[in-house]
Amino acid sequence: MRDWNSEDKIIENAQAVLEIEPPKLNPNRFKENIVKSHLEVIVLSMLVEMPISGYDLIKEILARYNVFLSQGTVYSLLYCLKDEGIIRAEFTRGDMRTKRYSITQEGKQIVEKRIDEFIDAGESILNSIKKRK
Amino acid sequence: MFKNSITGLDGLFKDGDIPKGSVILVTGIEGALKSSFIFSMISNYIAGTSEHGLYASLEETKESHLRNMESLGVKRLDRLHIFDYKDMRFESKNEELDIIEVTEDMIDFYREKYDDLTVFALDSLNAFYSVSTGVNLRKNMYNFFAMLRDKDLTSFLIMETCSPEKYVIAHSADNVEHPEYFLADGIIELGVIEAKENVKRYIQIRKMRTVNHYMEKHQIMAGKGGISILGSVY
Repeated sequence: MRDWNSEDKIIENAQAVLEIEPPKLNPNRFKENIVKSHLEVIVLSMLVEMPISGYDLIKEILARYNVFLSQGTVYSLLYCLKDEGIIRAEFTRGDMRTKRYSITQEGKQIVEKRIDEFIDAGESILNSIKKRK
Repeated sequence: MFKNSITGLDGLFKDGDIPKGSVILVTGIEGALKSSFIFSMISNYIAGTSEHGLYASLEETKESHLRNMESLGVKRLDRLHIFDYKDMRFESKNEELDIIEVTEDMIDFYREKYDDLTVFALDSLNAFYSVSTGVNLRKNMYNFFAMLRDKDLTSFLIMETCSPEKYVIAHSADNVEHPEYFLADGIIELGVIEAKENVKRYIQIRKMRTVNHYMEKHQIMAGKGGISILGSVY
């Protein structure tokens, strides 16, 4: 005797399989790649705007670019920039647990140069792509 | 060579050295010089090469760790990077922290920035466990050890034990609870021997895969001139 219940199940499963949509490409992937590949200049440009803590930096990058970065990556970058003398860390008033990072006097020129180089390179690539269109 | 990085360390090896790319557990009670020994060894090793090292500290702030090392005559090296988890822990407040993921991302960052990152130290595994909210952290240690090996890092994981006796119990009868003991390629133990008023610190290689080493406990001393290892304690 046929087991209609089980056949129904098989058909149901087959339909479910056929209905599976092909994997969607993440539309944010280019942005994510750009942010991750050029994190240093992006972070420096944000520190030019205002002193900010590592934790708030992660939140700000998420808000601006919809890219979530690991604390392991962001704090490592901040520590390296601090060791290089480009940025400094200071505790927030009334909060001895939160360090805010800002550009040092010595780091200002280096940061400006890096941001300018990044903008020039980006514009040159974008312009060449636009010309092809 | 690591064995030439601390005076007398070569006396613990019959031949060979701490194998590159291995994961070494450094165990011992508090005050046994675990952190000082590892930091000095890595610092001296790095100084003789063009390589980079990464010392990840959960126990102390970077500043306090460097002060301690300075008192032992260990000079600060630009190529020995110190990652202090404190800021991240304070600022993320009560948020769940995947400490293994954070640590892997941190290692990846430094590896990408410095081609020659070859040595990694974690101080300490105890704090690593206590920070993490992941219930299966100990089970995940297998992946953590594998990750360190995959990245070709010679890694030193510092772990405080209550006493050498406790270590023996853990090693022989409680392996499921302490996978790090059998996952590690090597175990270096530091401790204190007390005989009446005579107190000596010692270092012993308990295990070092593929390496011919002595099992004796050797006296280890710290002073302004740095750390040195003398002969057998007995």
